[in-house]
Amino acid sequence: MAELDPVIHADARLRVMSALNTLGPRESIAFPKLREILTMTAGNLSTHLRKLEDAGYITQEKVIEGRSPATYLGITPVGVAAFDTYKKQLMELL
Amino acid sequence: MNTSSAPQESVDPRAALAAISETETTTRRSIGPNVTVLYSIWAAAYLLGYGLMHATTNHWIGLSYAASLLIGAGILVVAIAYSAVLGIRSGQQIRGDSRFAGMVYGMSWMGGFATVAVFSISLANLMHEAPQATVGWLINSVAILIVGILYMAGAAVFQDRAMFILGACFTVLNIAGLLGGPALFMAIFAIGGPVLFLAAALATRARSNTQEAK
Repeated sequence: MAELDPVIHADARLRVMSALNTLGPRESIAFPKLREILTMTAGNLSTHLRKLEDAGYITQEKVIEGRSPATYLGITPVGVAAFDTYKKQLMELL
Repeated sequence: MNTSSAPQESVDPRAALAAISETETTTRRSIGPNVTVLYSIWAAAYLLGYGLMHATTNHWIGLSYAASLLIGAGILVVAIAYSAVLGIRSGQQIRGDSRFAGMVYGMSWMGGFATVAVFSISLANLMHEAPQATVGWLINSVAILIVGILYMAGAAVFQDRAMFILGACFTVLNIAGLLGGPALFMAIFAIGGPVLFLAAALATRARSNTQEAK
């Protein structure tokens, strides 16, 4: 069996991927709301988001809302496929 | 796209699946309105509004029909405002298809009920010699027509089976109320409305519990 994806197979990134996968590839969520859902510190979340973005699993989009900058995060089709494969592998391991 | 970095904070498969399930549940709760609360609010609104009109029609309470209609409209406005706040709050900080769908669906309700408000005034002016209960019956049947259609259309948008059943049941009750006449109409919706909303609330709660258990 192939090795579990090391980008996803870490508690914090696994939870980020779960949250973004629940939203789906056509939706994105603001950084503060994602942080609230995952109860993670901003610094910790940013670090893991960068790793997932580098792998092409998520996108980070900077927008201006009103007069304030905001970052929206969403899962990519590559991320959805990787997460799906990861879940199937987990099931096979049980 | 895997990186070559070694796994950090590695978790065992069972714990990983549990973390996925828990996060999915928390996320769903954060991004959508609490539908169980929403349906319960509407169950109370129907019970109070139609219950009051039914009681007035049968002279069970010393209130004029016009006053009961006014109070009923007030209850409706409060329930609509509460639903709108819940919907808007849940959609905040989310971008994408669901936000557009939610906004357009909310606007459809507003458009539908603005039309019902104008229709009510026009019909009351046109039928000013008719019994108030008859006018109220026809106005409410049009309001329920909008409710039934919007729930069924909403079910198609949000892929929600319980919502479709709710809309279909409202449509069936509306036909029954139109065939039954003004007095029966109010009784049907004073009882049937809350029962349908509570059933939908229970079905939604059961579905979310099942998703959490998976």
